[in-house]
Parts: sequence; C-alpha cells; structure tokens
Amino acid sequence: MPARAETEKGAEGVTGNGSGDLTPMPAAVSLDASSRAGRIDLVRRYLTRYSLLVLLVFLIVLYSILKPSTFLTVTNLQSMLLQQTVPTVIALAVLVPIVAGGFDLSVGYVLGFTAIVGAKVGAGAIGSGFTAIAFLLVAGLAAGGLNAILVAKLRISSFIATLGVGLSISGIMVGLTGGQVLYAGIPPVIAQISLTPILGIDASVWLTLIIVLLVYYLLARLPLGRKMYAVGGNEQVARLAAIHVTRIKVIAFVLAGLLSAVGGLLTLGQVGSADPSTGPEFLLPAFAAVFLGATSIRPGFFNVWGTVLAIFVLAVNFSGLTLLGAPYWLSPVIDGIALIIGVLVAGKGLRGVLSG
Amino acid sequence: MTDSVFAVPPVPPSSSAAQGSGVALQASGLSKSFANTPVLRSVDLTVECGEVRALLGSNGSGKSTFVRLITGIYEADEGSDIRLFGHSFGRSLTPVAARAAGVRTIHQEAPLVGQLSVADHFGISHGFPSGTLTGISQRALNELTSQALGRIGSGIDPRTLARDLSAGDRALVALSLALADADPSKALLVLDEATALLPANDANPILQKLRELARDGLAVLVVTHRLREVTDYCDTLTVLRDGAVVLAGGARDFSHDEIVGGMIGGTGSVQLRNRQTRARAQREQSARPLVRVRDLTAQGLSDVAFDVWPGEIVGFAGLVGSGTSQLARVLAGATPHQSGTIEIADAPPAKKWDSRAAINAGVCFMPQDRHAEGALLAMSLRDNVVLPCYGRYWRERKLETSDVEGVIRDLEVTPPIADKPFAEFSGGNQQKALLGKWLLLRPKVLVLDDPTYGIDPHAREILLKAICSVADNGGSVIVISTEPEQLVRLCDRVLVLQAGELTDELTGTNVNEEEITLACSR
Repeated sequence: MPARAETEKGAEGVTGNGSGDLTPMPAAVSLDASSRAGRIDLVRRYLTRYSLLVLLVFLIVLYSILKPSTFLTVTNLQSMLLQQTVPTVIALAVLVPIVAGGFDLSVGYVLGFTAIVGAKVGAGAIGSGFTAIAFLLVAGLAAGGLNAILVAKLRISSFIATLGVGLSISGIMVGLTGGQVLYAGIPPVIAQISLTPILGIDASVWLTLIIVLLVYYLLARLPLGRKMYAVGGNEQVARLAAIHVTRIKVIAFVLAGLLSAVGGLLTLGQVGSADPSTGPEFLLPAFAAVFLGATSIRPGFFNVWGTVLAIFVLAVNFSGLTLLGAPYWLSPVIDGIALIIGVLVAGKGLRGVLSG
Repeated sequence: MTDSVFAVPPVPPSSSAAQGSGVALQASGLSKSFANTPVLRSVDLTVECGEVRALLGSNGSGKSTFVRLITGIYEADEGSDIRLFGHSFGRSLTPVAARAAGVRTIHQEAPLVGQLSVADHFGISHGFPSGTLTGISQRALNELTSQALGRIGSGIDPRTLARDLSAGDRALVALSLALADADPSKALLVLDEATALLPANDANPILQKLRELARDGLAVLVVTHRLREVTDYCDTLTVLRDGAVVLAGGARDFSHDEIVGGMIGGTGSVQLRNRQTRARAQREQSARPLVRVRDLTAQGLSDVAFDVWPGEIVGFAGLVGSGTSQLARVLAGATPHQSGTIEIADAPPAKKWDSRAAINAGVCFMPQDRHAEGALLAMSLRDNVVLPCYGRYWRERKLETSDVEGVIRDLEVTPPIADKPFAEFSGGNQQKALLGKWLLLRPKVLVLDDPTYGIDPHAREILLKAICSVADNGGSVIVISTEPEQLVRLCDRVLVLQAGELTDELTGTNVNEEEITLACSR
C-alpha cells in the first residue's frame, strides 16, 4: 500500500487535469499551471485519505481535555476496545461481500444464531467447549453458504436473499431458545477465549486484531481480494477477464458468515449468555462504518482500515459524549449525521461507490 | 493536429424568397463547429411538404449534427438560417420551438419503457385524460391511443407492454406517438436512423407508411445507411461528406455506386499492412487454420462457418443488427451459442465455451462498449491492465509494474501514470490500455468489436498498428467494424453478414469501401 500511495501522489503533481490529451498544450504553460493545481489537489487528496485518522486523534484529544480524569484512563480505553471487538468483526462481515458487490443483511442474525448454537451445544451432552465452538463456526459457515448459493448460484439480489435468510434465522433463534435467554452450561473455554487478559488487554481484542489483519491481507494483498474488487466494480468486465465471478461471490458470502460466527463467539464469551434478540442491532452501525470507512485511507473504495477507523471514531465519540453526560440516545443521532456528512464531504470528487 | 484550416464560411444572404407554405424545412448555410473544428459547413437542404428526402453520409459526415441543429438540440453557428414552415428561426432554434413548429423526431432506438404499456407512453407524451376526482381514465386513454395508432394504420392493443412489442411494432408506436398531435400537412418528421436496427422486413412497412403519410402532405427526412430504402421509398436525397453536401437530387437519379462514392469520397486510404505481411499470410495458408468455426448458430446468427488462418486479419462487415457484434461475442464466449463448433488450434478442450474457456484457448475479446464491459472505471489503469492476471503478479509486484509500464510505453498511453483512476483517461487512452491488457496475455486470436469507435485519429493509428503486430507475429485477428474504412485499412479479407448469415466474402482488391458498403446494403 505505501509504495502505491507514493506513486499516486507523485502522479497528481505531473498531470493536473486528467483529460484533453487530444490537443497537447505547450509544455511550459501546462507545467506551470498544473504543478500549482496539482499541489492543491495533492493536499486535498492527502487530507481526504487521512481525514478519519485526523478526526479520531482530534476527538481523543478533545475528550481528554474535557474529561481528563475519566476519558483518558486505562479502564476506559480497555473497555472501549473490548466493546468495539464485535462491531469491528461484524463490520468486516459486511465489508467483504460489499467489496464483491453484494449486501449481506443477515450478519446480525447470524451472529445471534451462532451464539445460540454455541450455547446449546455447550450445554448439551455432546462434549467439550471446543465442540461447541466448532458447531458455532460451522453454523456461521452454513448460513453464509446458504446466502452464497442464493446470491451467486441462483442469482437472487443479495439484498433480498440475505434479508430472507436473516428473517428466517431470527425465527429459528426464537424456536431454538423458546424465547428465553440461555445462561446455563456455556463452556468456560468460550469465556476464556474472549476475556483472558494478554498483556493487559482482553483476548477478544487480540483476536479481533488478528482478524482485521487477515481480512486486510486478503482484500489488499491477495489476488482473491483484488478479484473481489474487480467483481464489485463491474461483474461483466470481470467475467470477460476470465475471473470466476460465481466462485468469488461464494467465497465472499461464506466468509461473511464465518466472520459473523466469530462475532457470535465473542458475544457469547463476553456476555456469558445467548439472547435470541441479540444481533440485529449490529447491522446498521456496521454498514455505517463500512460506508464511512470508504471515504478514507483508500478513498472511494471500501477498505479495512477505513472501516476500523470509522468504528473507533464513532466509539470514541460515544464514550466521550457519555462521559460528558449526554443522553444515551444522542450518540446514534450523531453517528448517523456523521455518516451522511462524511460521505457528502469526502464523496464529492470520489468516483465509485459513494456517489449515487 | 493542425489548427482549423476551415474558417466559418461567410454569411449567405438568408432572405431567399422561397417561403411558400409548401416548404417544410429550409436550412440555408447551416454551419456548426465544435472547438474550432467545423463538422458542418454551410449546408443547404430543403424538404417540401409531401416530400421524403433521404440524408446519407458515413460516420462523422455531420448528418447527426445536422439533425440536432434542425431539432434545436444544438445551436448553429453565425450565419446559419433554419426556416420551418415559412417561419425563420435564424440560427437559434430550441427543442421546444422546433416541436411547436411541427418538427417530430424518431431516434434510433425508440426509447420505450419496458414495463409501461403503449397507452402509458401515449399519456406521458400527450397527457393523461383525467377527471378531478376520478383520476386517470384508463378507458379514455386507451381510446385516444387506439386512435393515434389507427391514424398510421396500426392495430396494436394500447394495453400491450412495451417490452412485449416486436422491434417493428416499437418503431410503429414511436411513429404514432410522434405524430399523434401533429397535423400531417404541417409537420416535418425526422427519422434519425430509426430503421437502422430493424431487419429490412420490419423496416419496409414503416417506410411504406411514411410514403402514405407523405401523400397527405407530411414532410419526411430519413437518415439512413440503407441504399435500398433510398431508391425504394424516398423522393430525393442529400449526401453529406466531411460536413458538406456532395450530392443532392432525385433519389433515383444516382446509381448505388455513385451514392457510395459520394459518401466515402475519392480519397484512397493508405494500406496499413504491407505486402510482405500479406504474402506471409498467404504462405501460411498451407498450414491449418487457427480458428475453425462450423455451423455456428446463436441468437441472431445462423449457420455461420469460416476459417481464420495464422497471421490473417479478417473483418466482419454488416449493418447494425446484422449479427456482427453478436458473432464477436459468441466467438469470445461472452454470449453462449446454441449449436455449432468453435475450434482454436492447439487449445485445451473445454467443457463449455465461455469467457474463461476462450481466454484459456488464447482468444481475447475487446467488446464494443468500453464502459459497460471493458473497464473498471473507478479502479486504476494498473488494476485494469493486469485484471486477467492478478494471480500471476501476486508475488511479482516488480514484474507487474514493469509490464504495466511496458503497455503504457508501447501504446503511448498518456498521461503515463499507472495508478490514475481509469475513468480519468480519455477514450483513446482507455482503449489503448484495454488493448494492452490483452496483449499482455499474448493472444492467439484477438476478437475486436469496433476497436476504434469514437476514438481520435492519433490513438486510432497506434491501436491499428498494435493490432497488426498481433497478426504479424502469427496470431489471428477478427475485427468487427461498422466503418468500412477501418476494415479496408486493416483486413486481408472481409466477410459480410446480413441478418445473421454470411452472405459474401471479399478478398484481394475487392476489399475496398465501395464493395463493402455495397455488399452490406445489398
């Protein structure tokens, strides 16, 4: 990524305007005009690229000054990190199919569903905590696989297919639990995976970090990720370039199911129970983070670090406002406004995903 | 590029006397330049009431510009005068004023919305009959639509959805919609290649209808490529070349050869491929063909069979809708075929002939629609150029960069910046990069659908040279083009498609613009 960003930045200085090679201008004139315009453009692009990072630092400094005794404390930072693990993993579950040009609206339901599967299997007589985890992950893979078949093979609109799957799962969740929250018999290993402190930070955070790095590696470094962007960019172009469009989409949706299951695992470990009504509340913030993230780091493209930054911008804002005594309902209002303003400001001049 | 050599012509005295009620359109000294490049130079054209005039010209001759001027879409240059039914608009005509003056236009693809009925379309164009409380009266609407259709002698049910109409019926509906609120003796109907996409069988009844309407005084201007339509249905013709009138007169006063000669002019084009190459292509005819197509049948194609030899560039000529584009797509696996075989020499066997199989066999395809099918516009030039080989370059970023830079250098892509978003390059440079994408794969067979469509002359030369080099290196090239000039410059051999069937093969000296144009319009 750095090498690439470098060339891109260098590029802007040379060109200035991107069109009109038909009538070449005299070199002296164009050099003077474009280097200046190019420099302004460069600064603008640079600001766009790191806007979320700047905003995050600004918010941290702001709340540290406003609430030095409560905001900038180890406890607060630790709890903030832990609280954002599941939203981060779910945002990645939304991100991967979106890169490949599809929506997965079932991620929240799959999270709740897999947590219930884990709790049920753990409480049953089948075996150890690891069996429970295996079943939990397989449940996620199965849900993702179902989405994949509907979207990639049967060519149903991903919006509709995943909505249908999500709705059905929400019913199954109630069926499996009888509408009750499952407390009993959850294997301790699940809680350990989530909450064992390593170097003073909960295992959930480390696990999430590893997943973020893996998904980043997939999307930004592996041919598979590049192909996902190509499929998301224009399916027909990708198909004509011998890219296996169906396979790419299947992988994207199965991966989304797996990531949702990891979200379910972390939830189960952190909360210590499986609630049949858990899940849907993660969906909209995840989409918001993915879209807001596309304004930064790799502007105009859905990307991992932009998404993670967006989550933390929203989280820091939530924490700060809470400490300042703002009512709890104010935070989503501000998140929603931030999303719209962010896309409005950064989306201007960005091609691709953000403009309608 | 040189500066504009042609100054805008001097203002002709536009107050000519002929303004009797019998003249529907009188365009005098009509000129139009874009960025100092004249595309229309002092064109005079008259259509009288009751007259059907054909407007002919090859691509870029200025006929579309002419249509846009007289329908008010463009504003003409200083000194032009457009007179409609005796009323002079000078050079400034607006679409609304043109319509009010009686000008009605039917464009190439009648833009009907598939899910709406014929009656809905009538309502949208001419208002929905409705009561204050009752809303739209569907019955009255259907009645009005039936009447409008009846006026042109069509019995189409107003409730039919547009998507269920045949191509011919769509054109008829467009015709009735255009004329529904016009008094035939006070209207000028402009058909802007409205019949080009129709098979001749569907186009003829519409032209027949126009003849009947002309008897009632309707003035008609038909923009067309089909010479037969001109001699069979038109009274007069005007031929444009390079923005100027080169032929005008009675439709049957000129032979087809004369008309074609007028369209393409006497300028001989330079052969791009030299004799040696041709000779080698000939020599290699003793080997087996690289492409062997037999009994190929697909939607819009029937029983197409041909061979292409190594080192050969074969052109496919045909009017729009003749199946040439479809043939390119089928060859490249972009569209499935129903029966028949496509064999590529030394290709691995494929279960199904799709894009992947084609590329594995060494067949690379540049579709006509760059934006819809060729390019990832938001992604960088680099991402587009190496799109088919992401896997190959995974651990070879340096190789990737040098390959992309090679494409940029060899095809003179400007600006030479690999990481610039693709959409920010000009059309010509986009097309160079897309050709470069396939050249990186060292194609055995290159299938090109109108590779130089809408591309500036400089980029075109570079593209054509690169295409020739594929053949010079023993590959085969299959070129589809609607511009005979391009085929003449590139091809060793030209096959002609009409209504999905191979009807002619031009070789040797027969590969020239007259023969191609004639063979397509025969």
